[in-house]
Amino acid sequence: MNASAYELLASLARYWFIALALFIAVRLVVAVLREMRIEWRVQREISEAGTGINATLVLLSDEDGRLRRGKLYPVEGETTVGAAPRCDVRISSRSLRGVHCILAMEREGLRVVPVGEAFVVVDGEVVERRALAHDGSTIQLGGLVFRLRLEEENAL
Amino acid sequence: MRSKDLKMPETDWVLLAMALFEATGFLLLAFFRGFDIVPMILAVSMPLLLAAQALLLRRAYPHMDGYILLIANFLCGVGLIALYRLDPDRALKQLLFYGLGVLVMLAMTFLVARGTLLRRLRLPVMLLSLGALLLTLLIGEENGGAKNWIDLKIISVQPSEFVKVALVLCLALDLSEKRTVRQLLPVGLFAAGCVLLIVLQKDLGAVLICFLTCLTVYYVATSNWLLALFGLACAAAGSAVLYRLFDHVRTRVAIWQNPWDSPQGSGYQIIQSLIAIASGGLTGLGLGLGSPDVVPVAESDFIFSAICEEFGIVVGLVLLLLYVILFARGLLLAMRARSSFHALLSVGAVTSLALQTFMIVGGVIKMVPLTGVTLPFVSYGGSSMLSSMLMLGILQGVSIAVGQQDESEWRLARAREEAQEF
Repeated sequence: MNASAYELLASLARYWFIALALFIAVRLVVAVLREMRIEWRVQREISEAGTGINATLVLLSDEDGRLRRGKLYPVEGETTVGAAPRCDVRISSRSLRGVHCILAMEREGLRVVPVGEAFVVVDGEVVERRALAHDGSTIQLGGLVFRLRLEEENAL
Repeated sequence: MRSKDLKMPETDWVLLAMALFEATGFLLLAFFRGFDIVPMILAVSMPLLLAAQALLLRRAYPHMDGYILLIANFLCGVGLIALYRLDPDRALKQLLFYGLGVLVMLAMTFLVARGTLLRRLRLPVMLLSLGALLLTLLIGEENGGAKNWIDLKIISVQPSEFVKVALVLCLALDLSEKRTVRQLLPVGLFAAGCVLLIVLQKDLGAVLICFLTCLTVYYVATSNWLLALFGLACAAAGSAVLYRLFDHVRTRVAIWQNPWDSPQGSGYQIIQSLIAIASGGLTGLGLGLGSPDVVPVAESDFIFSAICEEFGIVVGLVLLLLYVILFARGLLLAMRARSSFHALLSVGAVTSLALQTFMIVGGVIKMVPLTGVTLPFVSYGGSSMLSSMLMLGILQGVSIAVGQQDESEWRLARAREEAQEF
C-alpha cells in the first residue's frame, strides 16, 4: 500500500475510532447504571426478606452497677464496641477501653476480637486473639457481662 | 427476580466494539511502515484475548466484575496500539508483560477471595518490600532525577510500583482488625519506612501516591479526621521541604508554571505534549499520521498525549471516562463489602490507581506539575503493568467475595419468602 492510500485510510479510520469510542462510552454508562439499579434491588430484597442472623448482647451484670440489667445492644454486621463515641456500640463504662473489641457475624457464630490488651472472656475463657461465640454464650467485656442471643431474622 | 439477575447484564455489544477498535488499530499498523505481519497477527489475537477473558472468566467466575475486566483489558489494548505505532520492539515486550499481568491478576484474585493465605504472607511481603526499596537505594539506577530502578541485566525492575500493592494489602489487613497504637505500630512503621525510602530515591510521584493512599485507607478505617488532617498538613510541609531540597522538583514546578521560559530545554517535553494534543484536535490526525515521537518518553509518561494526537481528544476523553467507571465500580465494591478488610482493600486499590491516573494525565495537560508516573494499563513499563494488574486482581478478589456473600444471602431470602408463601 502506498503512502497516500494509507493516509486516506488512516484519515477515514479516525471517524470509525471515534464512533466506536462513543458507542463504548454510551453503552457502558447505560449498562453500569442499569447494573447499579439491579444491585440496589437485590440489596433491598435481601434486607426486606431478612436473611441473616440477628445478634443481640443482653447485659447480665455491670460491676459498677450503673447500667440497667437486661439492656439490649444489637450487633449489626461488623461492629466495634467500646466507650469512645466513634464506636458502633457505645457503652459508657469505666471498665471498657475506647475501642474494646470488634464483633462480626460469621456463618459459624459471632467472632469476638479484643482490641489490644482489652479484657474479653467468652464462655469462661480469656480471649487473646479471637474467639467464636454462639447463641447463649456468656461474653465478658471489661467489667460487663453479657449473654449473646442469636435469632434468625423475621423468624417464621 | 430470577437468579440470572444477580449476574452481569449482557455487555456483548461493548465487547464487540472494543474488539473492533483493537482490530482496526492493529490492521492499520500492519500497513503503516510497508506490510508488517506482526500487527496482522495482533489484529486477530488481541480481540480474541479480550473476548476470551471477558467470556470465559465471566462464565467460570460469575462474581468477577465484568466491567472492570473489560475496561482494563481494553485500556491495555489501546496502549499496545499506541506503543506499536511508536516503537514495535517495546510493544512486543509490553505484550509479554500484559500476558504475565493477566496471570498475576488471576493469582491475586484468588488470594484476596480466599483471604487466609494473605494473612500469612503479610510479614514476608513487608520485609520483601522494605528490602527491595533498600536495595534500590544501594544499587539502583537514576532515571529522570529519581533513583528508582534496579537493573537485573535481563530486565529492569521498579520496586516502588510493587510497594504500592504491598502497602494496600498490609494496611487493609491490619486496619481491619486492629485499633490500638501498639497494634498498628508495625504497619505504621512499614508505611513510614516505605515512604521514607521512596523519598530518598527522589521518586516523588510514587511518594505522593503511597502517602495519600495510606492516609485515605487510614481515614476510611478509623474515621479519625483529626489525624487525617494532620497527615495532610505533614504532606504539605514535606512537599515544601522537598521543593527546597531537590533540584528536579523545583524544575518541574517551574516548567509547570511557565514552560515557555525554556522551550528548548526543560520545558521542551511539556510544550511538545501540549502542541501534540492541540494539533490532534477533537478527531485526531489519524493513526500513524501525527508525530508523537517528537515528545520525549512518549511511550511511557506521555502516552496520553500521543493517543490524543492521533486518535483525537474525543477518544482521550472516552478513555478518561473508562477510568472513572473503573474507579466508580471499585468504590461500589467497597460500599457493598460486608467486611472492612475487603472494603479497605478496594478503597486502597482504587485510590492508588486513581491518584496515578490523575497525576499523569494532569501533568501531561499541564494541570498539575509533572511527577513522572505511568498511566495505569496503558503506558510502557513491565513493573507498572504488573502492579496495575495486581491492583485489578485485588478488585476482582473483592468482587468475588462480595458476590458470593450477596448470592448466598439472596438465596436464603428467596427460600424464606417461598416458605412464607407456602
